[in-house]
Amino acid sequence: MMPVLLTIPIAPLYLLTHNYTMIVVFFTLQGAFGAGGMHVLHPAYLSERFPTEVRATASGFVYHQGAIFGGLVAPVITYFAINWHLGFAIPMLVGTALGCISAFAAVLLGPETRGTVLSAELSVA
Amino acid sequence: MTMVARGLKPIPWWKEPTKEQWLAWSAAWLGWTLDAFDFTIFLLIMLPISQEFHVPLTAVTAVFTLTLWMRLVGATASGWLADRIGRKKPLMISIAWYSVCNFIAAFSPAFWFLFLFRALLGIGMGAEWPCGASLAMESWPIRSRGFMAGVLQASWGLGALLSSAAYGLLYTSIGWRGLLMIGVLPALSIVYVRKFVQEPPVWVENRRLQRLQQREVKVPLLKIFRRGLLYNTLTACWWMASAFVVGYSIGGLFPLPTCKRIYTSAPALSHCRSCCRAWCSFYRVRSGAGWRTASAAAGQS
Repeated sequence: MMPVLLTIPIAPLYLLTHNYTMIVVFFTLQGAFGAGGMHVLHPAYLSERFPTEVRATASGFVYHQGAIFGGLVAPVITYFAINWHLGFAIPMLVGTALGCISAFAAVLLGPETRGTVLSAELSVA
Repeated sequence: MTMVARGLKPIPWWKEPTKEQWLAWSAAWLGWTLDAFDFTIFLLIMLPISQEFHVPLTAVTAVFTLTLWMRLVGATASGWLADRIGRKKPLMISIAWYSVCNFIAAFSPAFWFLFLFRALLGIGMGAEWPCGASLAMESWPIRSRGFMAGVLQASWGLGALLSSAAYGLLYTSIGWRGLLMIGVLPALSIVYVRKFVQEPPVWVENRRLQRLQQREVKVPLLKIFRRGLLYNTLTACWWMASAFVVGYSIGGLFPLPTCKRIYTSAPALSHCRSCCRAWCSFYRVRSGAGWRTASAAAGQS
């Protein structure tokens, strides 16, 4: 069990694929799984990415700037659903898929932080 | 940090953290769960609010969006404070902040007043996260850090579950104002934080070194956009934005159809509630009991 728990920081790769496949199969419910799986990583991943001097500022800023983009999703989806007569399902699927691909790329470009020791050493001061 | 890892024989991960580490994690957990309570209670009472003040429901949902956006302000400010003066104080301030804002909003004489205080509440809401996350993650032993981060984050659902429970049980007797007033109760957890929680040793030592070597990071917000951290910051921002887009693309299904139906009938509200509940129990169970149980719970709701 422990190795599995420890790999949570690298789980995005697995979870995203999982999410994407599932979402096509069983849209809403499984989607909540995938999104949940991805979102629960934040405290650990963000804390491990930044040195102690700036950790709280960085994780707070990074996390909540994301929320702004997230907040834009609902109006955009509504626009496509209503003005393009697509219904809600298609824009939501596209939004999810694009988001997943984008998240996938971001994770690939970002560092792997598994096993990072949060140290007291000064690193950026 | 790793003093527990001295012995060679393996110990189960839940016995590894010390009492202080559990206390610190619990503080973050409390803050985040109650934060969710105060935030999501509003989703359930949007309809009566729009009726009482004779404003369209879209105006009320705008409050919701603004609250979300104010989180960035709160998060950056409190993160900054947390890096400078420690994780504890900003955590207490933020809990007090959102509790009090909720309480004051309960006495709104007019819609703009409610709008203002719910927007201010967003600051407190956002402010809780960075302090809590840093406090918990810096305190917790490395081995099970990922898992406990999961439990911490997923407890948002637990808070939402609590708010729908409060709504279900109390709405008829105390109304929306009463529900907002209940939102002040989280402030009690400040006592706990103040009494039992210690600053993470990592932060304390780091701060001491900064002073000692006179290499203080006075403006951490600028620091993360300097060379060395810039790439890290940008990819992290990219990742977070994508994650939120995914989350809201999926979650968008919940609020949107419900909002539409809210216009036509009151029973829609119960629909909204059950949606909320389904979603929440999902998160909660997923973090605790694993996939199979979670699917079962989902099937039930």
